[in-house]
Amino acid sequence: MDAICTETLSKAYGAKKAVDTINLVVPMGSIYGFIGRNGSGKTTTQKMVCGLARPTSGTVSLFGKPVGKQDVREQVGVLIEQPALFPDLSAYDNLMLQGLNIGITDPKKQAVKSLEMVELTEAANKKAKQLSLGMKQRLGVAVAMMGSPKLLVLDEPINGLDPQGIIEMRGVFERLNKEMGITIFISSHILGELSRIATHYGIINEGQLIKQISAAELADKSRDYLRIQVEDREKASLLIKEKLAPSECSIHDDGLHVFGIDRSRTVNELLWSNGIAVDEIYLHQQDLEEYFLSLMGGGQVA
Amino acid sequence: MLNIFKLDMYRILRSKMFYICIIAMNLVSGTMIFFGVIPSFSAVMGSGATDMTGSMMGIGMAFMIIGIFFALFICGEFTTGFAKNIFARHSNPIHYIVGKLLSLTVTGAVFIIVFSLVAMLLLVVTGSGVVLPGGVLGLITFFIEKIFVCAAFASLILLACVFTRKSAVGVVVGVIAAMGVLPMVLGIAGNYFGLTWISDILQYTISGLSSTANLVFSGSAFATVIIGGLIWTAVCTVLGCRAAKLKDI
Repeated sequence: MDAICTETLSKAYGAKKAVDTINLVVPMGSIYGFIGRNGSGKTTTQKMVCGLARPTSGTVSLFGKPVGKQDVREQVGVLIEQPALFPDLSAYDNLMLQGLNIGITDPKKQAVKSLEMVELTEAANKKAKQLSLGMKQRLGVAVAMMGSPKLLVLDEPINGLDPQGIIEMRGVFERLNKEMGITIFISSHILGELSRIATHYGIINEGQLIKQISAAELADKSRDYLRIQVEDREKASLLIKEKLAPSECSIHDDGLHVFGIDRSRTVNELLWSNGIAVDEIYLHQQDLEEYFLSLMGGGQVA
Repeated sequence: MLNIFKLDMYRILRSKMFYICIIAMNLVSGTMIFFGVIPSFSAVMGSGATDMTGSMMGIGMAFMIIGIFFALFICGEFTTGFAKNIFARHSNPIHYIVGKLLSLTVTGAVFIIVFSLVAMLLLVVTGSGVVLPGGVLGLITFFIEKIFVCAAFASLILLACVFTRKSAVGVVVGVIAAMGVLPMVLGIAGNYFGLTWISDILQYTISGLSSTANLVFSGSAFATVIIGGLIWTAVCTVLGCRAAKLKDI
């Protein structure tokens, strides 16, 4: 059973389709990184997943049940757009409010536990408006965590954080996922950071889900390769295939891509000894950001 | 819906706005009593014809402050984003609407009762004395009537806030309803054009019902206020649920 499953999910605002027939699958126990440019439909999709926005068409199922069911809602914690906090109330009071909202039996105990989990115990009595951005984000996650949900839906929770804050948040997410088995559906623009924690990715562009891929598949796709610039690519390709038996050797606009061989010297010597002049050769390492850009057809990230 | 009620009460008791409003409404009536502008308890409570439409410094003024408090309190959830936590958790908006209505009615009742008790105390202190024309029973039934009016008033502001998500709209609706501006204008226009039946209908508006409430108990007036208040509350609640269901958060 998947934590989230959408079927042809769409949302239109007038003539504009914000989300267009998305079939999203978030496996149970995963950290699902949801990636897309600004205005690509990430937040709208996440809102529909939480029941905060009505789909124009299509369905959302959480743990195999429609999102409209009350028992399903009780298993979801959300942090959408910004930490939902009352600025004039203390961190503890904000957690108490969420505890009362969800009707847990001992909200005081849970509030204290949640503060400990996000390392905000010392700021318990500080008003939310006095907290730093990083502390507010952590408090927002703690609010979402009240009642021990099975699924967390987080919309750009690490935006605006300093490096220290990002590391702390990463620790929180890893603890929640590994120690408590919570599925996390997270959107972020900070792809480098997302690639450290995500087990699955979904890439959305102009309202359409253009790719769903697991971290293992991505690692396989984005494995290192040698990029070689030579004049006669056909000849070089045949020679490399014949003499070095790479796992893959293909011709692209930017040169030859040779997989399975990581020593550029070996290739260089081979080509040189066969009279093929090498203009450029280097080991290319593709990361999530590059993969994202390649899917987007270039341009800037978010 | 009990969760929403508990959540609201926790928030109300920790918000400065609640105490500021209590102080503000008592300060205004207190000033008027001390300067002899309001010499009697009936005038303070604005019972009968002097209420809302006739006496800005009566309980109409209190309702105005209550209306502003309600609007700011409800819309605070939308501006801070906490409404997302609420609506993500509660799949049926009736839980939100009824829970909120309950907490607002209780808060409104506290405002009215505190306002009345302080006014009585001040009248005694200033030597004006307190005369209850309908006795204690009249006062109790008067409070019950005002609380039902308060529920209708709260449901109207809740509807405006859930529909528009704008505290300014909620405040304007609250002030207009508390002062009875619309019925007053319609009443004057009706009389001018000889349409007296308009005045009959206007007694069933929220401000009209509030004016009907009196310190002297009357069975028919009591029934009118209670049933009228319930109808207003029910209609606004149904429309509020519909608005909450249709609008994205």
